[in-house]
Amino acid sequence: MKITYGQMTALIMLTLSVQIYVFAPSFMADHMGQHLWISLIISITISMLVGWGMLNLSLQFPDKSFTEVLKKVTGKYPGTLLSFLYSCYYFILFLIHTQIIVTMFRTLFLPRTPSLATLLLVLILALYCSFLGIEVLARASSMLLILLTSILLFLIVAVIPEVNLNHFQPLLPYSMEGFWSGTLIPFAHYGQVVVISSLLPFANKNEITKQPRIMAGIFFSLLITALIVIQNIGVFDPYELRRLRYPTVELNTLIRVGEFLERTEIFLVTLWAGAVMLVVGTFFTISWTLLKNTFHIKKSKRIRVAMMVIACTVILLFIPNSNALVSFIFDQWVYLSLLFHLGIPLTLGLCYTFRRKVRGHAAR
Amino acid sequence: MQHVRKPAVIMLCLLLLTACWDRKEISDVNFIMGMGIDLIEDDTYRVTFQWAYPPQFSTEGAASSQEENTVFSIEADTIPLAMAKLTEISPRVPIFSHMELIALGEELLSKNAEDVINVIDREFEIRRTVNLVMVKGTAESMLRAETPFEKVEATGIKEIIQLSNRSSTFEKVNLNVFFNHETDPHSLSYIPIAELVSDTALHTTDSSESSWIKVERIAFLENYRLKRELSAREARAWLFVRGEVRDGTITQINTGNGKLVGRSIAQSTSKKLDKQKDQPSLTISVEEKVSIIDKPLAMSIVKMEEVLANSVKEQIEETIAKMQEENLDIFFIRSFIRHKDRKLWSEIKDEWEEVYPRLDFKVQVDIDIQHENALRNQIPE
Repeated sequence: MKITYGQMTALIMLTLSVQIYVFAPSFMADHMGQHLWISLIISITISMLVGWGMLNLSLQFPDKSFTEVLKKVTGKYPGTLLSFLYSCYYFILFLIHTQIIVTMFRTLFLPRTPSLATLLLVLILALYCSFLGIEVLARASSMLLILLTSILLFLIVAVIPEVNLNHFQPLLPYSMEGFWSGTLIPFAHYGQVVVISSLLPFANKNEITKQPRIMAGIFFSLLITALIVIQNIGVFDPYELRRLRYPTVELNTLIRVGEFLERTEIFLVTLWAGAVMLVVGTFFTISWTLLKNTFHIKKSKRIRVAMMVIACTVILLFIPNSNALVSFIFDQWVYLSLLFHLGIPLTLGLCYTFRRKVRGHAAR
Repeated sequence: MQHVRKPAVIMLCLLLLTACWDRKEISDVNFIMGMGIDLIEDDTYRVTFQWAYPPQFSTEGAASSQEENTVFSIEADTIPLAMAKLTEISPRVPIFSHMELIALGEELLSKNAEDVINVIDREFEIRRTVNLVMVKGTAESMLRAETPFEKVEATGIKEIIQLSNRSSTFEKVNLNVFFNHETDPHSLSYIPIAELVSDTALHTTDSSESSWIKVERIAFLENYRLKRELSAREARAWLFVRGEVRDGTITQINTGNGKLVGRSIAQSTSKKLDKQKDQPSLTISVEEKVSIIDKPLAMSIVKMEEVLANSVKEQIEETIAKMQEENLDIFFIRSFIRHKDRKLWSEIKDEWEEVYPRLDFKVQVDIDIQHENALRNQIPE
């Protein structure tokens, strides 16, 4: 059974709503200071264009999986290669999100609980998600999205009294120093909008496509998360923000509604953890689906379990703690992800336009 | 086989989900409410912990008439060691997530509190909303003294800082505010000062016997080291410049014909930066809405406004001149210029030490008397 476009949009919105505010504000402040809002606007604009392009490209091949779309647009072998690359891309996103939740819980909330226990739990959950399939995850995402968005909006409103507008001054920068590297950071998160092409094949083709609504939903998620990043500057000035490893968690600890409502971070963290686990499951399922379609794999259970073992080993060997994770995300992944967020989508757009023109010319 | 695997996986998940490693039973927890840190030797700290004793808060009254001791001091070379040593006397696990106050002894701040504050900063259980005070004398004596109405002194001091302060001589500072200033290379940090007073009058006392806690004035720190304590008059001027004078603050002036007493209703301040012939100047415009409590006979509203404005202006100008003389930027002028005029800031930041004493300040004060509390007629003699 297919999912509706609404459920697909909810799942995309959820994947875009869980990551950027965890570590990125500190690194953006390091590059851009109080001017990080400019890089957010630019990366949101580019991400919307990329998302719109990928959506329209996928809609040209309504009955095809993303692997088939890639093969149709670029040819059999390049398409197979790209499909495999995207499978790896989603696998890396799966690893990153898994380790974000594991390290965050270890550092902040469960210092005595061994990381391996949390890691195994998340991996088993992701494996279970892949057995359930995207359809079930998409249906579960709607309710979770409403709850997560509500708590993020609550965070934005509740922390307004702590915002010092002087932290944003001067509003405009005097030089472009740190501008491009500062813009790559949010784009490495918002560029995940390319997930739209992998989820579209699961959507019900009989439903009238609502492109503006899908794009509006995506924009809403990007906007909410961008506001949280901007609010971090308002509350902690750029110098202080650079020091903080988990700025949004610290932002959350400042919420105080009178004398009776304190420690509301538990709501955010609980909902956020639920959302991240669902996103982890989604990325793993997409990665597995692409791999399956690329190599026409029939028997799958053992391979999926093997992928989990690989994931566990890679995490323990290469990104075993928050320092290694942060270093990987901000020193390597922000540059590497450009290939998947901009390089390949642009190439696909050019190939599709070229092929269409050639076909039109031949028809004439 | 399928029937065996699924329950096995579920059981495994349940085992992990319980998170037994980090469980904390409420009856096993010691809620630390306040922490006082004193430096007693070069590398030795005396850390005083105050915790909540739940029966004290019972609406049915304390279970026993005997006062429960909830304060304990530990000497250790580092703060984490002191925190760990607390478990040697506490049958319950100390947790710091509900802490309301950190009191830092004068001696510690005079030397350097960087190590201590860095430890506090790295302890995630300690929230950024915890209030900070500097204690004249020792922080321990502060936590062993008394505050009216409150059985836990840490809570009492927090309430004084947050709810009271009608004398407007200090501003509440939590860890978030402190770090925002301390990490800014162009800013001094500040914390309110607490001291012990006799429980019969607001006279400073050296003894913790029958003494209460008073919070008054502001101390400025540079790189975690005490730089300057403001007097009450200077602190009031500082609050005027920041636009932070509280509703209810009393201003009293002896006019020669009698006392003029005003009570603040609202106060705001704006600053304007100008540059003439490469010399920056700053205009500080203070506005205050006032109600009159007492006044000399036959003094007109216009005259009262003028007298009050002159008094506030004099306080501010006097404090600015002192700070320029001492080259102390307590008004955060560097941050202000950096925010308002980056170009000017880049020109003067390296010569700030020479620029600040010569900086031209213009102070404008506008007092607006809202009402005269005219409940009684004044009958001339």
